[in-house]
Amino acid sequence: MAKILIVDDDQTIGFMIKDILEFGGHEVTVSQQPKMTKENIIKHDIELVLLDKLISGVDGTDVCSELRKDEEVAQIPIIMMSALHDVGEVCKSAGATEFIAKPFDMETLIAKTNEILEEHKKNS
Amino acid sequence: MDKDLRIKELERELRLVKNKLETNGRNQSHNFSLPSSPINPSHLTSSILENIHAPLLLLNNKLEVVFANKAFYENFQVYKDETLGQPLFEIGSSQWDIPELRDVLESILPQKNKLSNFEVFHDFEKIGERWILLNAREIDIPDVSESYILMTLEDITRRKKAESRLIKSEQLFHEMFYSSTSLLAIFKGPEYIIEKANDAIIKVWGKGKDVIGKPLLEVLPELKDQGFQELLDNVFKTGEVFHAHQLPVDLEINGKMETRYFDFTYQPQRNAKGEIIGVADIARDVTEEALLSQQIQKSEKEFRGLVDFMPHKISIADEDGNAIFYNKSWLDYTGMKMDEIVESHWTEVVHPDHTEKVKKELEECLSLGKTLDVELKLKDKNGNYKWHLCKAIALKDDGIITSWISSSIEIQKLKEEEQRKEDFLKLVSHELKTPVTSIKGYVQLLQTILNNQDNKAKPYLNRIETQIERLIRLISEMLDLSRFEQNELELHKEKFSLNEHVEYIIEDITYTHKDVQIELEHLCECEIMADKDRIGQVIINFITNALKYSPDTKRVLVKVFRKQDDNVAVSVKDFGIGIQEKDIKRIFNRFYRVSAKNEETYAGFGIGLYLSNKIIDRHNGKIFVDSEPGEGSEFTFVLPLNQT
Repeated sequence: MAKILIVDDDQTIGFMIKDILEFGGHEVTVSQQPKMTKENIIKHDIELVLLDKLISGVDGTDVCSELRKDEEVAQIPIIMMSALHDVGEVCKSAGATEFIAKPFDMETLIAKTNEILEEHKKNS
Repeated sequence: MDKDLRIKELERELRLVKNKLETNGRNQSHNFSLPSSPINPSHLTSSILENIHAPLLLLNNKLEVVFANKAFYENFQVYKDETLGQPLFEIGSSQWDIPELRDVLESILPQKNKLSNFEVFHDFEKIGERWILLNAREIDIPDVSESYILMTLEDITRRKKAESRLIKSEQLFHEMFYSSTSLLAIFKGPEYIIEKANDAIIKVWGKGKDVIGKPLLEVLPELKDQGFQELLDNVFKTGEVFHAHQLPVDLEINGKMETRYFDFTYQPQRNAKGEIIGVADIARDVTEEALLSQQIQKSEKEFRGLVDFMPHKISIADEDGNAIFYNKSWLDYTGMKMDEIVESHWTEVVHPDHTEKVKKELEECLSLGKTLDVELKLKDKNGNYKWHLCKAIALKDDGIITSWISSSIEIQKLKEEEQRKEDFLKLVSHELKTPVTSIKGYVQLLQTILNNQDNKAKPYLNRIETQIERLIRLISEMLDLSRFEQNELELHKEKFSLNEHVEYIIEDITYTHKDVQIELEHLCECEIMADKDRIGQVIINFITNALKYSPDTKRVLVKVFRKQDDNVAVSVKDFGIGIQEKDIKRIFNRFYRVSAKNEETYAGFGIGLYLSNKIIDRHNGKIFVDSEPGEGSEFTFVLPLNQT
C-alpha cells in the first residue's frame, strides 16, 4: 500500500483512477490544482504522483520539471498521462518516470504503479 | 521611196557605164578623147557606185555578178576575182546559196519585176549570222537586149537584234503583267480610262472582262463614295505615290456588295517629258489576312476580358519563366501596376517561409517542363500574406516549351476552415476520450470485482468493453487523421519481431472475435525497425477490414514473407465481397467507403485505409491491393529492411 496523488483537472478521470487504485489497495488523493502539487506531496506524504499532461491550461511537463528541480520532492516517482499517444517521449524528457496513454487498461495502470513503487523502494 | 529613187539613179548611171563600155569597144582603133566637160560622167558613175555605202550587186539574167561595189566586198568579206563573172549562188563557197534568195531571184522577181524590202536571215561563212534587207529590180538598159538585176543588200542585223530584244522585253512585261497574282491596272488621263488590267484585278472588280477602254469610276461606280476619286486625283495632280494597308473597300462583285481588304499603291505614270499621263494601280487582295487579323484581335480582346474578369490570378511567362503578363486580379491584389509587377521578382510577393520550397519546385518545373502545383502565401497590397494554391503549366509547340501559364487562387478561407476543422477534430477526440477512459476504467473495475463470482452480468460487461474498445479505436483514428493532416504525427521507431507482433495481434483479435478463422503463415523470420504501434494499427486495419467485408466466410489468410531481399511484406487475404475496379483507386482516400450491392455502407469513418497508407508511406513502404469482385481481396504492405 502506498500514498498516491492524482493531478487531473477532470474529476471523472481523477476519481475513476482513485477508485481503481484504492481497489488495488492504495491510499489516493485527487487534486485539480497542478500548482499545489509540491504542497500536496508534502502534506499527504505522497509516494507516487499521477500527473495529467494538460491540466486547466497548465502543461504537466512544466509541473514535472519543476518538481524534478526541487530537492525536497525531486525523488518522487511521477507517472504522466495523456489522451495523446505520442507525447510519451516529451513527458519522459521532462522527468516523468513513466507514461500512460489514455484510455488505459486497469491492469496496466495497477501493474505499472506497483512496479514503479517497488523499484522506488528498492532504490531508496 | 528613198530606195526606189536610189535604184532609178543607179539604173541611169549603169546605162551610162554600159554605153561608155560599148563606145570604147567600137572605137578601139580611135584615140580616146577627153570630154569637154571637166568631169568624166562614166568615171563619176563608177566612183559613185563604188562609194555608195550600201552593198550593191548587178546580176545578168544568168544571175552572174556583173558588178559589185566596194561596200559589198567589205561587208561580206569576199574578193573581186572570186565574185565578178561568177553565178551569185556560187560565190564565196556558195555562201549566197540562200533558198529564199534563190526563190526570189529565180521565180518571184521574173514575174514581179521588182522586190521591195525583202528580209533574209543567213549564216554567212565569214561574217556569221546576219539579217539582210534586199531590194532588187530588173532593169532594162537601153540599147541592151539583156536585162539585168540590180540588188542592194543592207545589213540590218543590229536593228533586228534591237527589235528582237524589244519584242522579248514586251513579251516579258506582258506575261508578267497578265499572269501576276498581284492586281495590276493602268489608268490613263484624268478620266482614269482603264488602259490595261490583268485577269487578277478584273476578277476582283467582278464586272466582267469588258472593262478595257472604260473610265474606272464608271466601271466601279461604288468607289466614288469611298473617296477613290479624290485619291486618284491627288496622285494625278501632285505625283505623290499613295500607299494603303488593309484598306476596306466595298465592291459590287457579280451583283453583290462585298467588303474586301486591299494593300495597294497608286503610282503616277509619266511620259517621256515627265508629265503625268495616268495612274498605275498595284494592289493585293488581303481580305483573308485582314479577317484573320481581325479575328485574332477579337480573340485577344476576349481573352484579356476573360482573364481580367476571372477572380483567379492569371499570369503568362516566357519559356524561361520570366513573367510578361498579369491579369487584373493580380494587379488588384498586389496594388502594383503592370510594369511594376513585371519588373518585380516573385520573391517580393511570396512569403519568406515559402521561398525555398517554391524555388526548388520552380527549378524542377522549368528544367523538366512539369506542371507546378504548390500552396504558398502571397503578399497583398496591405502587406498581409494569404494562402494561395498556385498552378503553372507549360505550353508546348512540337514538344518545345514556348510559354508558361499560371493560375493562383486564394485559399485563405479554406485553410482557416481546415485549421478550424482540424482543431475541432482534435478537441472532439480529446474530449471524447475522457469519458471513455472513465467508462473503460469502471467496466474493468467491475469485471475485476465480479471476476471471482458467478454473476450473470459478466458477459454483458464483456460486450460493453468490446464496444468501448471499438469506440476508442474510432476516436484514435479521428485524432490520428487530424495529426496526419497537420504533419504532427511522430513515429517512435524500435526494433521488434514482425512475426511475433503479427501473431500477438491475431491472438488479440481472435480473443474478441470468436467466430473467425485467421490462418497465419510465416514464410520468413524478420525483425524490423519501425513504429510498433502504428504498424500494428495497419495490420489490425487490414484484418478487421477483411472480416468486415467478408460477411459470409470469416476465413482470413495472413502471410509474412520476403517480397525482395531488401524488404518484408505482410499480406492479408479474404474471400469476401471484393472491390470493384473503379473503387480500388479510391479506397485510400479519406472518408471513402465501399458500398455493397444494396447500397448499404459498412460501419466506420472511412479513414482506416487512408491512415494505413499514410503510416506505411511514412515508413517508406508501399501498399498493394489485389482484388476480384465476389472472390475476395488481398492487401499487402511492404516495408524496406534498411530502415533507421
